[in-house]
Amino acid sequence: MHNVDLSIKNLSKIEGNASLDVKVSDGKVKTCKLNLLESNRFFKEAILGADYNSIPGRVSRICGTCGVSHQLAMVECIENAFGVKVTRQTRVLRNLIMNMTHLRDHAMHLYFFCLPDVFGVDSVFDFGEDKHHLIHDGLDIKSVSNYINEVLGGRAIHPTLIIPGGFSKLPKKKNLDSAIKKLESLKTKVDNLIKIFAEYENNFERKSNYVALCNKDYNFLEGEIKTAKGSIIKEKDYGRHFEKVVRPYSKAEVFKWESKDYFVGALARMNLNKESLHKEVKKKYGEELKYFPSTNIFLNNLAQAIESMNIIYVSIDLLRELKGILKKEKPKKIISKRATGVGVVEAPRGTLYYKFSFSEKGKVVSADFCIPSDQNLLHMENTLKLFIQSLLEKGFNKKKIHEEVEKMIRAYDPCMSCATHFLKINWD
Amino acid sequence: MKKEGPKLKLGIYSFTSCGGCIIAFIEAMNHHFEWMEKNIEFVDFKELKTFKKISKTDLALIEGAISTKEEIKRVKEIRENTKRLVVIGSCGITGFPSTQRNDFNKNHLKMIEGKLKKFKHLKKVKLPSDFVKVDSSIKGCPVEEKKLLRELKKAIRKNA
Repeated sequence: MHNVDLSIKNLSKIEGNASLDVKVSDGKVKTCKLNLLESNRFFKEAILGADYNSIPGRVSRICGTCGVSHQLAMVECIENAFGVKVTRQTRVLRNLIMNMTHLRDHAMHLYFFCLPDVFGVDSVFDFGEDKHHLIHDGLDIKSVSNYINEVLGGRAIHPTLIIPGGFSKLPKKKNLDSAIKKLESLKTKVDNLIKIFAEYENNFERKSNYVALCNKDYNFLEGEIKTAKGSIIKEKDYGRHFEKVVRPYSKAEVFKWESKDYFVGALARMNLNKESLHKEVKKKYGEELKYFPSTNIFLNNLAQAIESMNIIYVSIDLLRELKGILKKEKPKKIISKRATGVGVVEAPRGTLYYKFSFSEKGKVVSADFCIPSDQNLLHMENTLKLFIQSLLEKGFNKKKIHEEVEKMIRAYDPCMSCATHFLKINWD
Repeated sequence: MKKEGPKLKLGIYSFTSCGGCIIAFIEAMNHHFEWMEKNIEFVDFKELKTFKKISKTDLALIEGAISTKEEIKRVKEIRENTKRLVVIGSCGITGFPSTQRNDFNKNHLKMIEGKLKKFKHLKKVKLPSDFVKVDSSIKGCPVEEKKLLRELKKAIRKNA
């Protein structure tokens, strides 16, 4: 196909609105642009001058599915700026809430966005009787993670109890046993999910850099930033390695790490940090873990499935610890001062960076955040360009290329509400 | 909830928002999937199936505020094609937080005017009700699940 118009106006089964724009002439992919159709809501500007106490709740509204990540990056940033050290109890609670957010988000992505591709159907509504139980598995996983986040955070979407210094309300001990039981019941379902994605063959390797926050117990809140090239960077120094790349056609900022595109997310985490997985997960999934490290972006799905199992094991341990230590405690007292703080967390889709400066009275003077989906945009475009070229050379027709391209986009698990960008493919 | 006869044709659409109300709907499915599947035909639901163009629906749920001419066009088209239009969540009802730039001072406006112009944003962020008749709305940030389910069940009963 020398000159083809392949336009995907509304990408489905992703979070948010996007289109892909591809120009093919003389059989070569000339341009490949992701366009975001979400309207910008200008959070960075909106929170300038606001009191630090109000910010976690506000930034949560950047995204309906991973708002928790924004809240947790924000409180870390505030505490970092004002020199506040939270208690172990607070850290355990936050880890659990972040774990449950990942679990829910991964389940939505894997069961509802990606499994239809695996089975060659358009949606979960098209699953036959023999696959119907998988929908219920996905619903159960989401339901359990929401229950735990309601118990610990007040609510699953835009939780209400996370505040700088700690929590405004603490959970009841009796609910923790129920939480453990419910998590235990998910193990066979997630095991099945891992098997499905381990067997699902879809492959496109592209040698790339990748970046993730790494630590000793595969948590999503603390650590050092590591890269495929072997760099180890402290959270506060991330700014020295990033470049913002302005693209005039795009609503998103995109990023290069030391001048090259790169990716973040579960695949990057699994590649860089699999040694820190729970010992039971390493034991049980030794074969599947051999796939990593990999730069085949389709393996992001398997990485998310393994992370989901890891979250279950780790969270059961954390809940048991919490049962032992849970006591009434007030949030740490905060005294604002003129300062800059950094908060870095692993959101479900990758590393999320927050850097804020505050006035003496604790008002926001400057705000910057770097979204995981924005960091993946350049890598996604560049990889898609090569991928589409390879599909052209294989002689695939337009319909087949469309399907494969959407599968790759879904593998990145982009979050357009966060990134405010969208793909639009037009081949001409 | 058993039903004979045609299922309720449902369309779910997102405008300027964080997408949280649609996520809330997807989470509401956790405990209610079976009766939803039996009684609802998800005609337009971009998050879970391929979406090509706005279809005819019995009920349209929309989240979000209106920021662009394209969104005005789209909400009007949804209204033309549905029997009942319900706005879900704060952004589409009070506007907040999606309308936050409407309150920007001169300095903040200066920071964003370039982007507003380039991506053809409206001068002020508006609400769906500024352009179309809204039959009902369900508040919350995110939308209150219990009330959302009640609305769905009511629509299913009326459609029977």
